[in-house]
Amino acid sequence: MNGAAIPRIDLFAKFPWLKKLAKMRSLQFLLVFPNLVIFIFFFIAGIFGSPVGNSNIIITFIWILWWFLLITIMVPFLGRIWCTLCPLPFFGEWMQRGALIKVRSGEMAGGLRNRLYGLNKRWPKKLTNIWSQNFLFLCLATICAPLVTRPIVTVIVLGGLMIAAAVLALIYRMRTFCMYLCPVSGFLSLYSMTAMTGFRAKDLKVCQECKVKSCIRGSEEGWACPWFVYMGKLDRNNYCGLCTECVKSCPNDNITLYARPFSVDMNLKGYDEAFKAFIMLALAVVYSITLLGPWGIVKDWANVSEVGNLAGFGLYALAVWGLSLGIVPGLHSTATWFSRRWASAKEIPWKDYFLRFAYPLVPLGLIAWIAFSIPLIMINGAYILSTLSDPLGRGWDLFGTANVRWSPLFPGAVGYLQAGVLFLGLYFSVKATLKLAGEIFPEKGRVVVGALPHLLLQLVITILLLKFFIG
Amino acid sequence: MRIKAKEILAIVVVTVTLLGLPFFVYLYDQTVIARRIQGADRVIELTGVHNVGVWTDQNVNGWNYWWQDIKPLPPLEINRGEEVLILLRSADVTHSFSIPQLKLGPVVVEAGHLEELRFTADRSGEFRYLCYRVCGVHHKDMKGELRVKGEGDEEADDLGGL
Repeated sequence: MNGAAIPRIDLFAKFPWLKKLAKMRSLQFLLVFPNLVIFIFFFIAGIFGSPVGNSNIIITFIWILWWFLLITIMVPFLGRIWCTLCPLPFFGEWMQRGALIKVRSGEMAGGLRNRLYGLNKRWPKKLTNIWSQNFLFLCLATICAPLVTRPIVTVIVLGGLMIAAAVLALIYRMRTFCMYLCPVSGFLSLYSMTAMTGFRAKDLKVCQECKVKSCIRGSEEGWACPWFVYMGKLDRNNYCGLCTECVKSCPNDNITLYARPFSVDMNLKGYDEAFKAFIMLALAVVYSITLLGPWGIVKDWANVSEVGNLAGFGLYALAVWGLSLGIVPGLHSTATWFSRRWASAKEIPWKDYFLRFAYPLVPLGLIAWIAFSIPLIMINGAYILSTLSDPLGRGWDLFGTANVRWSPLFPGAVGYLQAGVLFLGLYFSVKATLKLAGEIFPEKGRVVVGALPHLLLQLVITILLLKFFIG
Repeated sequence: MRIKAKEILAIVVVTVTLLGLPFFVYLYDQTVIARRIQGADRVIELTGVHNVGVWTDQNVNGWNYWWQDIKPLPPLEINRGEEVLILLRSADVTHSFSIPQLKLGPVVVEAGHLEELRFTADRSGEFRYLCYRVCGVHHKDMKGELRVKGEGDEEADDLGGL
């Protein structure tokens, strides 16, 4: 939210119970722990259960149900709410804080007013960006076929992330793992910009005059922000993990949860964030071809662990990385070049211009992923029911749905829903492009010619996605 | 509740739950199997593994599917008159289990489902069990021998299979 110009509703004022909930000391534990238990159960299922993905709850619940809920509901409406619930940093944070619920206060180096175990080192300055997350996400995307179909691969990846989070928590400060390494956090940071809720300071003047800055330094009431956020300067959702510590620790009761329109944080601050947008858009195309498309050869290339075609896998990997880091950024650069030339905007530095008009790819990319996720749930949703009752694929029947056979849900409607959603994504990206152009060009003519190359690119991307999704 | 008490309670809950969870999963799994095998004198658990073309009595799961050395079974031996229960699983694709000479099956065995075949071994002899559904390149290897021991051993006709 960039100032009072954006319409917003103070949800804490409207729903006092919500504020009371956010101030509850044990809130995070009550949200995270059940999730942790579920994750551990999933690990057990992944190791001891059926090796077949659609018969194992770890695959059906994570790569079908969780993914669908995350991208379709959690992110657009609640931003980084998954980070509030995420069990991956549980053990690391427990060891670092030495507590599950209570706050340990005391003076520490760096102005912190909480006592933390571990070395509390600062993450290297050169790496304080999301390039590492971009790299890790691309690595996971490259092995997406075995990752989303083989239970043990998911166990290894998620287990590895949990171990990494724990180790890093003992070496570095706060949630360094979440901020700079977690692949999930990387795209959540980008797409949370579109979210319709977010924590903000109610009155920035109060923050400026605040002497204690408990939000970032901690206090007896709350831990210092694990995401290194100072609420007096928070103007985007990107790096707020919605942990509610600032709500608890602010001595001036100056933090609230706002509801706001979709896609109002429009400021990309670095090439790392822009490239995240390119990567996610490219992968929406790649996954639609690989996982949903009719081209068996591409599936075989991606499925290297089963098929063993290393040359094909090499081609596939090249396509993933080339599209994400070369072609999509190249297209955006081309559009930027033409836009800057046609609008005679040479006075605006290239970087500012490039980043400004990379933002519309954020709502476009998010909504492309929503369109991708629709068939995931509608075509494969029956597996969720069967694995709910027989999570390990060993003959259980907990809820009487173990023998629900695969059956798609309204398959004829999938294409229409995807098309509708894609056009919605195009609408939001066009709207953002025109708004961003309007902010820098006072003349309507320049707005149009400046926006045109980007609008054309967005249209081409939408048509391509339509082609891949619905033929 | 005071924060210190909440903290202690949280630690206890976490410890008990995380240590107990694998145990409860195992216990429940055994309960499910125990319910299935009631009334059987002899229980045989078989898992069809298409990528090596065997029916195995080894436990094949998410962890060991990729690296475990899965060997064909030696002949299964049961006694005449026994009430036999064969529990069938698939580790990968859809198989089908049959003992044609005893007119048993075919039982379709899909991954993630536990199927069963109950019979009384009322004939002595050597019989062949096999996969009755083309499941992959190793389909023709998915067969084995069942020996029913008892008085009046008979030679079983070799009816072959698919």
